[in-house]
Amino acid sequence: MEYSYIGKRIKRVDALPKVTGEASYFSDVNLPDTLAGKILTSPYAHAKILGIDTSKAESLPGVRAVVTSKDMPRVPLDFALAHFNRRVDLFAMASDRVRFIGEEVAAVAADNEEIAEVALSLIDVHYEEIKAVFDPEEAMSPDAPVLYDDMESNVAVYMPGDYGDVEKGFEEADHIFEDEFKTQLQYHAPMERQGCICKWDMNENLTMWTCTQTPHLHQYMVATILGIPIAKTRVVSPYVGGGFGAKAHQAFPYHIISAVLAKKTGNPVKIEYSRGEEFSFATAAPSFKIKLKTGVMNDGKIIAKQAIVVEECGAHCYIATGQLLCSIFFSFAHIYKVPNLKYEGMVVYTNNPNRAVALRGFGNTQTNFAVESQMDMIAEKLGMDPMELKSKNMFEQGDTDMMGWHFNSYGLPECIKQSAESADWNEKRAEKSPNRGIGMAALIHACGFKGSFGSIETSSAVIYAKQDGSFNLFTDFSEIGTGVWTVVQEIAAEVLGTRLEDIQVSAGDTAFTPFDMGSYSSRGTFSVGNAVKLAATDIRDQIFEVAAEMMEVKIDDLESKNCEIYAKETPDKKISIAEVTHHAIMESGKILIGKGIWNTPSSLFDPFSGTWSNLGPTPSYLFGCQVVEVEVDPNTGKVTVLSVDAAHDVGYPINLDMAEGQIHGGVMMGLGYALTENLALEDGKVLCDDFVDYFIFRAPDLPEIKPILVTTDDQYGPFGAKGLGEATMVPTAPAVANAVYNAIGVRIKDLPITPGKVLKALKEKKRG
Amino acid sequence: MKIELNTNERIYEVDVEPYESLNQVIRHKIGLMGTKRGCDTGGCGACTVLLDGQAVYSCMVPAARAEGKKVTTIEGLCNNNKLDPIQDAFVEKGAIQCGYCTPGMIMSAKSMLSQNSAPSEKEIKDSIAGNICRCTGYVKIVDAISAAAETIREGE
Ligand code: FES
Ligand code: FES
Repeated sequence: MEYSYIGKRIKRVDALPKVTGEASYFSDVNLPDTLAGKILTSPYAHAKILGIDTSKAESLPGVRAVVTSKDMPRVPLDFALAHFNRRVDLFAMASDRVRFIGEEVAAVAADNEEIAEVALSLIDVHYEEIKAVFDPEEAMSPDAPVLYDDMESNVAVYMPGDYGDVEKGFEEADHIFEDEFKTQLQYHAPMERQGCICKWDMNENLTMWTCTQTPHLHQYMVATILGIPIAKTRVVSPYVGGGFGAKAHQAFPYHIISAVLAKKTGNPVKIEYSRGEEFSFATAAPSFKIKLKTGVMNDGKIIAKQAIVVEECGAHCYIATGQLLCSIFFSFAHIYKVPNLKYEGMVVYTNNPNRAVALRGFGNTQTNFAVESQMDMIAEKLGMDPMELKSKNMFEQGDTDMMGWHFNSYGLPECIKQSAESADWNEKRAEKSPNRGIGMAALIHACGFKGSFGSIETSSAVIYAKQDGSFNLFTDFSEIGTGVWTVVQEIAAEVLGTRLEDIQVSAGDTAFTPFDMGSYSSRGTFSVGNAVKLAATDIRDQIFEVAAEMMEVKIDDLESKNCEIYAKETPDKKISIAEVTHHAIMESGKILIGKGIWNTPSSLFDPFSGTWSNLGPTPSYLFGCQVVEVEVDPNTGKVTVLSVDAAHDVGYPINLDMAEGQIHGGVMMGLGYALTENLALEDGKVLCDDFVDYFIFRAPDLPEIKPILVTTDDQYGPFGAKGLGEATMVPTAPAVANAVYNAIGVRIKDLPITPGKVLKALKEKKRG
Repeated sequence: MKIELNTNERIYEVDVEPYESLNQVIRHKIGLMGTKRGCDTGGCGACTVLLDGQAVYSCMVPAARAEGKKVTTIEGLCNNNKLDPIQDAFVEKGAIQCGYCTPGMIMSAKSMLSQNSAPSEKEIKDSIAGNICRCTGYVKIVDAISAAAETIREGE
């Protein structure tokens, strides 16, 4: 099918505002009389709060308000997140006990940041330290201090599952592989720091400018926590300076604190984390420990698989359950066909500062590292090419697996084939040069995992026609960088047969956009794309109805292209869209409003049966395979990545530049995860607070990244398209680890793969 | 203290504190919000502006030290709605995602290209080594800068 815009290189709608500095992010909003808000956080990993004296701070000139937990609503911040099996434990401020270094204890609003800082130092908090625990294994031991009084242990969530007969499978297996893998804390590091500005008007309406990936969920949570009508709470968040999950918060403590301070002072209050605060306690993806046991037959068929997955969530469970689900299901249970499966998943509290915040891949990245590393080990033991081993255990298009996941499109074989070809896999595996190696890893992911973030998976869009044939399109989606505004513009213009510039996209402001779940779980192109396609089709049908009357033809005969409506049979009979919309609105009083609601046909996980009733958590799954080539310096242990060939099944690409861009960025984040990024902790304190200690790849350090877009024409996707963003970083780390093994014969099972670990492993290998 | 800041060819008279950075003054006293602030410690490059044509981290320069010099921010690159070739190339090549690093990236490239309009790929990458982009993997940014260099050479 030849499209006008879909599948092309279309310029982004947000490009001009961004290259000129015109795009306004929350922190660029400059309201008169805005006060600086600052939060006092706990210096202790675990302590009782015996008392707080704010009097000195209050009497400091320039201080407008000081608040503590007494001023905060006692409504939890995480009440509407995952749909089952979870705890609610996050409040805007600690009241009688702090559980990590960085927990919110008090806050001030002052005339400027400097005064606010001084005021914080004048707040006297009387703490009594209690024993803390930092290691998840220790946290599970019977004599560990328990973080929550209503609990008997630190295991916040326990999720077991059993399919087939694993024990029998292991008995029958010709080979058993048992390994333990560990992953680190990764910091999202969006270039825009977290924050918000809150302002109340005289009618008690709250406006909050912030950086959120999920404006409507954010609005719902903030209003409910504050106890005000949702409709009187406006969340404005059009441009967001990068999210990667860090801003998929429906409400963080600072949002509530800022709203309370603004209410108390009657002024707008701005809270913006410093980069140091961001590093120290804002957001990070949790660390995982994964014990993996796999039984394999001589021919490579996997017969049984067992995993114990321990997710360390820090002091708050937040969306840890969703992450645990994703960590178990994607790479462990669904990437390969395994007849016998057993797992135990746990979320464990510690006194470390992270709130189990979502990060690109959402648990899948962690387990994928374990599973795909082990696949490489299995292949070696069986003397098989990893490609062949994968092929032996793959599904086929149209398959439904034993938990109910249905693969209507299935690009995995093609992704493996194309990434291998592009990287000269066969040649490089056959003729190895010293200290160089090549490795591969594959993945499965979802576009919109129902149940990971709430029990619905919906998007909506509204489109109005104007008298001149232009259109206003409204969606909730913030532009966090993924290009979703351009995607929806392309889709609407394609359906309506207009020019791109005829579609004016407005988004990221709950005052006028319809409800949407927001930007996470690689759902933008897929879910909002579907909603926009429905809305555009709806309004096109209305326009065709008017046009059919005007042209005196049957409505089914009509088609639109180049801003004109034609009758298929008599193509010389045509009329411009503008004439029709003008006639409809100005002469017939017909207001043309299109609406699209996409309620995904997927289903929720049923914890009792351990299955999904329909299609699985998403109707459409993402697949991909990455091949990485590295060179390892045996003297220093340094791993240099030479190239990455990344093939991803995108269903059908909506915009080539943007799809490639997602792969470039995801691979870079994945390489950081594999090699350099580690939010190291000591006794609950983050050791790095700037981009020197926390190394993110810079332009000169990056290898060649070759994106390959595999097309599978998904049945449910708009124009066949699926999501992409998250999938792009998932298999990078295991592909690097496998390449390192191929280069120098050492297997690193705990991330990141630092020179120190490589040297140590080399030494051990020498010793035998 | 009162200082005069020549910013984008316009003189602004501003009252600054000795500790205030050029970044704070450009953003909050002059009101030009195109220059971003990602860390305040010279670690990210989001705040890059030109000082007499040289790329600097505006978060690391006290505002008072910019007096008597020419400050150019991202807003100063586009005159009468005509984009700078670098801005044009960023649009054309799709070198933008969230856009938070973009003004700083463009200013770093501007500084380099004004001294060297035939940079090698390595020189391009080195010129933005002080600018972190978390979104794009730099690939399309490097493409865009190299395309801009070509346009500039053609115009020379
Ligand atoms: S804000 Fe100046 S370098 Fe980061
Ligand atoms: S585009 Fe987001 S940081 Fe560069």
